[in-house]
Amino acid sequence: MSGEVSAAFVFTDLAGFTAFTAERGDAAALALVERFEREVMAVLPPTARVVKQLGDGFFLCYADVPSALASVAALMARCAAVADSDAPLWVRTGVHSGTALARGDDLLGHDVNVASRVTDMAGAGETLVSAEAKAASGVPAAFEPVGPVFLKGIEEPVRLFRLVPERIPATVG
Amino acid sequence: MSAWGPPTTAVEVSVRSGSVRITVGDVSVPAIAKGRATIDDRGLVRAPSGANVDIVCPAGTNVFVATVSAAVVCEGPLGSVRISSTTGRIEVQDCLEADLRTRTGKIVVGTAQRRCRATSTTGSVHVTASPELDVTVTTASVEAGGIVRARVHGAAGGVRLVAVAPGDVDVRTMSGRVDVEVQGDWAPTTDLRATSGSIRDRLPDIDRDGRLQVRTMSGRITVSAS
Repeated sequence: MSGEVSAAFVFTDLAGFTAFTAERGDAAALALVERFEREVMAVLPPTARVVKQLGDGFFLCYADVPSALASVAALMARCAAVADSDAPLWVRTGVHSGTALARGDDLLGHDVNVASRVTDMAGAGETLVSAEAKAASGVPAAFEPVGPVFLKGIEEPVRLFRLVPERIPATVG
Repeated sequence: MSAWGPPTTAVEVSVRSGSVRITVGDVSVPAIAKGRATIDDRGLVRAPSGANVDIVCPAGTNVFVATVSAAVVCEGPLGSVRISSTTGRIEVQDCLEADLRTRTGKIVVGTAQRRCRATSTTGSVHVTASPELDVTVTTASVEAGGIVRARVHGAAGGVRLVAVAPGDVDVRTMSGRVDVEVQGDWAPTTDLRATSGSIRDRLPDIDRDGRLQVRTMSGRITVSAS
């Protein structure tokens, strides 16, 4: 597969995963990632896919931002409901929309990098989105401003917003 | 109208390094008090990297600051204060609400009248008083007072909270001490669980109001009244 893809890019991982692995060991860490993977797959619509997985992180590609946000909101709710001290699914997520180039099953490009860096700024249980993703969401009221942030490797500050899941209409996605 | 009445002004500063100081003064619009910077009528500040920017603004002004390493100091009373940094220290003395993010910089907040959200990797978080708190740290200590509602996630590093009224407090850690002090003649319903750490619940035997939930793996949980 090759060519340009226009999509919503989502990175999601587990806050505190390194500390969890050090505290509980590799087997528990593996079980936690497998639990997280089940939750990710459960909310993935047919039009989305897992581009790649690295450690506790997933790179997801959605056809559009509304479906990405609906999926992410569902993921956060599911993980919050099952998180406990043995399975600390402290999920954090970043969403950005734009274009990327396909290389086999992988996707590469500046917008993919931005989505990854946006995730770095999120806290546990939090979803941050770029201004581009907010504009394409169709639900501008579902966000609170975070403000401009400097993202690693990107010269100009990027304006971010925090998703307030309960403000997403049930019909979105 | 209170000092935090409907904010009509905003200041936005993006500077990679140097320092940023924002104070409240007897001005009708934000202005540059000192430093090589300019500000337009929307409050957008332009400054060269490394500049020491000193801004004076009306009470209740909303503040946005993005930096990599600049130390940021905001005195008050300000409106919504939203600051992101990589390594710079963040200090906010008095605001309506705060959203503060850093990787290694220390976060110090005096009073956030409504809410304080803080995210840090290794920089410690200290909040003197905020009724609502939402903090995520990786390896850093968290101290906060004046709490009614709180949600704290900490992988490692101690957590110390002082709750002042019945609400909903939820603390989740992997290691490190968790100390919650309840101030006043009340006590919350407690749900304290430690996988391998110890639990000490020293609350008085009185009717319960509000909820305190703590989950830790190897940390020690202490809940006390004062």
